Amino acid sequence: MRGGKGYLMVSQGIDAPDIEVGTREFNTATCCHCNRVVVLNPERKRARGNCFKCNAYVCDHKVCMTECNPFMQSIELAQKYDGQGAFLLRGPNGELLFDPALRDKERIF
Amino acid sequence: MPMYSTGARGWTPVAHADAAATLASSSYHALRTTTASTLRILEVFIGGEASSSTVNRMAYRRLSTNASTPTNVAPSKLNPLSAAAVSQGYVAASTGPTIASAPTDILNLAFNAFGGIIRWVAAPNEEIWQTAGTAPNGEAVLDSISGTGVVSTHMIFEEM
Repeated sequence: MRGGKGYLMVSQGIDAPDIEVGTREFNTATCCHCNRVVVLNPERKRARGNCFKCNAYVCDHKVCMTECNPFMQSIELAQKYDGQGAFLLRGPNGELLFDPALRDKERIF
Repeated sequence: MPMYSTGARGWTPVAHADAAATLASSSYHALRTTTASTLRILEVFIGGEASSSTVNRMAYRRLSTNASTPTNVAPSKLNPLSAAAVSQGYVAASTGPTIASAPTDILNLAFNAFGGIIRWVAAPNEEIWQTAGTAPNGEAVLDSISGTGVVSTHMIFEEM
């Protein structure tokens, strides 16, 4: 595991002996807003997302980049309001799929 | 926190699109929490056992409907002193689970199942979480989006 990132190892199948490097390794990161795992492209030039409130990586989904909906808070909501929403699921753009009023109700500031 | 491993040997994936309903038994490898438990996945491993070149596009996805009466495959303790896992692994149920319709891939793992292997390990605090008993929060499945090469899989998780 390199640089505090997740680790992904892919080994070639049996029919690919001509590939010089049979095993490839990649860094991964997990979005702190939607919990999706992203394989980091080492050739990427653009800056990667970061949430300054969570102080953690965020993926390129629009809502993940623009709003702070910490996944850890969603876990707490799922435990407290079990059966009242899709707390751990996010939409195609990273949007919440549960009633934000529940989230706001638990905010202390 | 106690750590466990859930494994499934030599199963044949079926290509499931998002929102695929009532998945057939032995076409997926699922992990579920209960109303009173929380887990986080630390590692996912898939070993390909296909007899010819087959690209499997595997994914770990959340559900819109939990399986009904899943057959528990009790996860193994990594430490013999740990209590038995509250969470359950399963590959069969009386009614299979339904995958959520939103793009639910938490983790995509594409590889050649003809002897290839793929292994993902989470960095600290970057694990995949599941909690409580209600879909889509508590259960998720490791299955195929496309490709049907035989695989064996395991997932290592920690109960909170």
